[in-house]
Amino acid sequence: MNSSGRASWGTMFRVLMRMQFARLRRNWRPYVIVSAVMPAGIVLLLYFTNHHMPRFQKEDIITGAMLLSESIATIVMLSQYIAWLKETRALDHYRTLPVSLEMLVTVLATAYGLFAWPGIALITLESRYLEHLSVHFSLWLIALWVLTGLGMGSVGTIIGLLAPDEGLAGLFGNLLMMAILFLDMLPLSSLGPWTAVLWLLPSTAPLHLLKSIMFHVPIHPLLWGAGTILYAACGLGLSAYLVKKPA
Amino acid sequence: MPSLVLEFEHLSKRYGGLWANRDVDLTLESGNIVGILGPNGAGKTTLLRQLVGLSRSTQGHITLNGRVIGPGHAWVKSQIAYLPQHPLALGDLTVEEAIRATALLRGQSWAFASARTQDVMERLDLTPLRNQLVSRLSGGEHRLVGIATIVVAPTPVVALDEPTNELDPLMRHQVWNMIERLKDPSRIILLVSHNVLEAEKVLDRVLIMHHGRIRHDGSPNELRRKTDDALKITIKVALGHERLSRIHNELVQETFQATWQDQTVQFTCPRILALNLLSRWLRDPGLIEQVAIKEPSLEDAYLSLRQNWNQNHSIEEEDL
Repeated sequence: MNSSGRASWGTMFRVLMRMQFARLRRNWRPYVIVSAVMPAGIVLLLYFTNHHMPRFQKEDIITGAMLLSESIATIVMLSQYIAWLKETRALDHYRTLPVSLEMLVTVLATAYGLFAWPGIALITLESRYLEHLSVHFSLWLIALWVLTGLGMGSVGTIIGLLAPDEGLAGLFGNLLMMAILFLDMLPLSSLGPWTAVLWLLPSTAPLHLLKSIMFHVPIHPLLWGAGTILYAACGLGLSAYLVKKPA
Repeated sequence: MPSLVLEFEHLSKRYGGLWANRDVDLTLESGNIVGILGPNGAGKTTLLRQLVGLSRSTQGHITLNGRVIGPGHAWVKSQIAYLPQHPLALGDLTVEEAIRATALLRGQSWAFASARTQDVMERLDLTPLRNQLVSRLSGGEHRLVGIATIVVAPTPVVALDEPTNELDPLMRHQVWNMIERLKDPSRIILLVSHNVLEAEKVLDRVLIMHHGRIRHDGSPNELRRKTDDALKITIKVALGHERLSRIHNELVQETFQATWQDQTVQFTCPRILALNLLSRWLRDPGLIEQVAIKEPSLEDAYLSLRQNWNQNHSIEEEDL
């Protein structure tokens, strides 16, 4: 008998990641196009309807649209996928495979975050060629998008695990996505007492960091950076706990 | 001395007010293929789910070589491979990728996993489907892939829930052969099946569950011996309403459960009664065209025991 046990962390990550990307073979249109079309369309619509808005508003729209793209993939689509896995009991198969469930939720969030990258790239092009904004690129940006994907993806996973079925997971995911759409594109000063709600959204800290990296808007990077990391860590911890929970 | 001992101690699981299984005490040793038989809702699948940590026991515990198995324990997943009845999480992969991915996750090297994948695909006739997505396969093919993921890198404990469901006779034959080949002095194979007749060929030990409790535990021969005084009779009655009515009435009088198909009737009854009936009928020329007498199979024994338990259960309920 050959030794049977458990793969190394690297192999486990690669195999699990491949399993997620294999979904694109059949479902690349909803995953890639839907998460790109709506946010890019909003930027396009605002360009045609209100082209002369101030620069800071354009920056708000661009960063908000990028986060919207990320939230469609990681919150709406991932929550529906998780709810489907739960309904069909395929999630039970994952639970019995020799994989770390912490790694499973990390891989799911990372993969679904990556599905939104074509949309984010499209919005970057719009900001450069339509709005003529100079977008600064930094390696920090990649780290930030991965962390944002983890934070939002963990929220999507939690919604999928707690929702009674796939339809309701989609509904809850869409409601949260709408909150991100409305609240993150508005200037903080206009929210009044609702500003506190922003702290519950997985997009708030990444939004500030994005503006800082891409448009050099002055912020406290350590504060918002710590917020982004903390959100992702807590979200992943909670989603791993829920995935592990037996019947 | 067995290298592995799996113990279930006073294991119970309750869903709301309903006990799925209750006070299950079992000791399983490596080198055996153990079959859990029983009607739907007997608690068989719940027992497997408790074993692999998908379901938390209400009472009692399971140990593997003295180590308590708990939900979410990482070491359990490297020791126990589980084939569920529901779809696999590998639906987006091709058949070849799905089998190899499982081998890789079970700690095999890429080269070994690839070679084993080819071997298993050939044995299960999955090679022509190697590039098909698992989610696009038929129910039976999907089941075969599930079996392949178990066989490609077998663990010390293998738990199979209805391994031959949805399979055609040829596929079932291949799967039972595969299960038999998995048998190893250092492995425990536990399987739940409705297919008593086919399972009989590979089982070393049979557990019968009924209403959440283990009602029989022993070898297939021991189970068969429980109905040792019985014979399985198949007779073809000569055409004619009177003849058919006579046989039918006599069987009803003796309260045997008989299965009729056109002129042919099949029933199981105690040896002495069978001889009485047959000698009576055979004395009447032209009444019976053909007679076949068989020793009861494991399935007959199982059905007979089940019938008794159901009757006792109804009596117990009436008494209450």
